[in-house]
Amino acid sequence: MQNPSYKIDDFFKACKDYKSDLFIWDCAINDAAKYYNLKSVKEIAKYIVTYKLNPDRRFVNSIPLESWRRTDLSAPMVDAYSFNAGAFIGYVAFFYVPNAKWTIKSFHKDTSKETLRVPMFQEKLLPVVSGSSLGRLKGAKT
Amino acid sequence: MTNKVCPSCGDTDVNEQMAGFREYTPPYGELTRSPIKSYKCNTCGASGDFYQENVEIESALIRSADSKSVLKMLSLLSEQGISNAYFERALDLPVRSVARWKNGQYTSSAISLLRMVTTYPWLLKVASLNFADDAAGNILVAAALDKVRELRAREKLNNPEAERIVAFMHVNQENSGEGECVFLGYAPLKKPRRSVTVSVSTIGVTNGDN
Repeated sequence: MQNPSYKIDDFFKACKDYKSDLFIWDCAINDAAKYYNLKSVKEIAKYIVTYKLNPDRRFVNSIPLESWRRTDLSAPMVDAYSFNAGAFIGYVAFFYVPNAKWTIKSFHKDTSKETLRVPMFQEKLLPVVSGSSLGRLKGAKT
Repeated sequence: MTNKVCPSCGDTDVNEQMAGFREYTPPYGELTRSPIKSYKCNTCGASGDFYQENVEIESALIRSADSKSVLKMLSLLSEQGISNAYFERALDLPVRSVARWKNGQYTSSAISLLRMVTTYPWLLKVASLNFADDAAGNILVAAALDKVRELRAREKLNNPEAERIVAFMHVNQENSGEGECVFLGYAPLKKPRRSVTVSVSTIGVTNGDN
């Protein structure tokens, strides 16, 4: 089984010192605002530090950074974790390059695990309702 | 290319991007936009506020949008005949809390409370009855029935040719005030759609056409 490339506690430490040690890509900030109502680097970092991606934090994989362009250096590995974010499964991916900051490149819903809902869904207490259906119910223009 | 360093990879192949915008639309608020400074690293693909130049702009944007949404929510509640005094007494808030919120002296907890009550105004009735269990159950069921009527009326309005609308709610209040609420879809079709069961306590409504 594949192992993480980084110690998760080192990542949490960087989140704690977010002003100096953490950078979050723009797309991840936008997704965090959209899915988690976390609207700034500070809010995202504090959320991660406080809850440590619990409950149900699970290592997903560790793969080389796809957008890496340099050929003289190997791409940094990106560790991905999923976690229970309440009404959906959350997904975070981060990497670290020596002499740079820890970087969160993704922070969104884990769309590959839509069926693995949190206990409320697993117990069939709530139906799965698609976005379009919800929009229609709320009277939104589709 | 600038002499600036990418915070993600430490490389200097960094470009300032064309002006971007940060957008924020709070619940019950308007879309608010602010121009921000943004950079892109051509080495690792990082993109964003590399040097924390937008922190103040973003917090001002959020504050402004939230303030407008607070006013909007208070206005919506007022339109429903909910006075400041009723709101404050029902929720056991200090007097003039609402006035302070209107003046921008609100907290994130106040915004959360307002969003809940604006979405479910009947929560105030439950609160004003001291959250009594039986009363809470009855108010919830009444609100759910009102919602079904509203959905039916909307469907008739949107689709006057619909043959019929199947919307059935069964409330089983045996020993507790909670019971079970079954909303058998919302189907202007002959063929019945899949029905779903939701717990009253979760206040779920679905058309079940997934």
